[in-house]
Amino acid sequence: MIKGRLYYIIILLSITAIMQTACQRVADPCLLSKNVYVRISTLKPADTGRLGVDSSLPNPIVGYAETNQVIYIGTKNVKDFYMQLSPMKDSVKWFITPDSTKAALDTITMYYQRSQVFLSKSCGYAHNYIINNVKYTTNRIDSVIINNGNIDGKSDVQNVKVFY
Amino acid sequence: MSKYFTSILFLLFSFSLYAQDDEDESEKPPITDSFYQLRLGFDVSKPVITNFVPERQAYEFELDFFKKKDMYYVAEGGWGRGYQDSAFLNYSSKNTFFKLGINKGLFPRLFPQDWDQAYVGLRYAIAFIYRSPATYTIFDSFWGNTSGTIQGKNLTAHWFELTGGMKVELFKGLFTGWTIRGKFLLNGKQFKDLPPPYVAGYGRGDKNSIFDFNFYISYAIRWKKKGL
Repeated sequence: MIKGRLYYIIILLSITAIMQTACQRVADPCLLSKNVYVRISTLKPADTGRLGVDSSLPNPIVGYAETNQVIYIGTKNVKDFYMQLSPMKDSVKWFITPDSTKAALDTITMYYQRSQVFLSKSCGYAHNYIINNVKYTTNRIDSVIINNGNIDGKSDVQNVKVFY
Repeated sequence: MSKYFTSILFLLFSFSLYAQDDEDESEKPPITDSFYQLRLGFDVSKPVITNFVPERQAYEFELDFFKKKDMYYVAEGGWGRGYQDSAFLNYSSKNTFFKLGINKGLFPRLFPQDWDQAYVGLRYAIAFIYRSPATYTIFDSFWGNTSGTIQGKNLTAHWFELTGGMKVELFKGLFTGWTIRGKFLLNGKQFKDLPPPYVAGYGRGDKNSIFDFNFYISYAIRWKKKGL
């Protein structure tokens, strides 16, 4: 009887030790990407209508118009550009030139709604956006369409299509 | 996951010990339930865990009542608090909780003074939670950091639990034992926007199912049934 109870006590103490070890504090790092980007794809109009055909820009320069901050420069034959929206404002204006010439410079202005989305306790919140409207100049650009206005960090989504 | 597996192995192992005793005693007549038993337990593991994980604080009590055969009626309660303190997010929560359910003994008593038990059980639980206002900062090296506040909120959580465990009477009336619990949140949708950092009695507010354990020290009083 006493031997049996000692057996149980040993088991109980062992379980407690194991569980205490398992419950030791483990750092809970934020492993999620918190920045979301607008994916802008450049295309040529085609019979496929809104789909278009991929078209790389030979020597593009892309940046933010208000600050003249250049994001893409010196990279050849690019067809996808990843740009950030401002969490401080409801619109942002970019400039884009396909061949680095000033004559070919256009601007694209995005109008959007902002929201904060809870990611996790360790990561906190992130900004998400919904693009509602787009305005653009037509020096070289043929048209710009919103393909998927939800800017929520999902990869492999063409958000905006720019037709040349 | 391995810790849960280990716990289940221990549980099964202890059941097998009882089972072996059972075979030896199979010829004995059944024990007459001539006593009621009321037992109050305190989970001593939670204050220990708070030492390692100060952002989770809980005090948990268990009251069970033995009426007849192998059925125990169980009421549990407690309180606690938790907090999240990081560069991204800062808030806290506090709550009380109550649970009602049953434990069913797995093996018959071997003799009239045998109050050791191995059991499985079921609980319904409810927690009343206050989540404090939360301040957050979103870091952005390009546009600059943004901060904001999420308003505080009163929340109610419901969940049910499947339990298993054992209790051993060390001295007359003094028990020790453990319970493992699988907890399943019934209304987790309300926590989607911002879950409480920690819910005493349940665990992490951002999980819809949780495994947990308690290690109880309990004291029991008994009184004789009338007419026996």
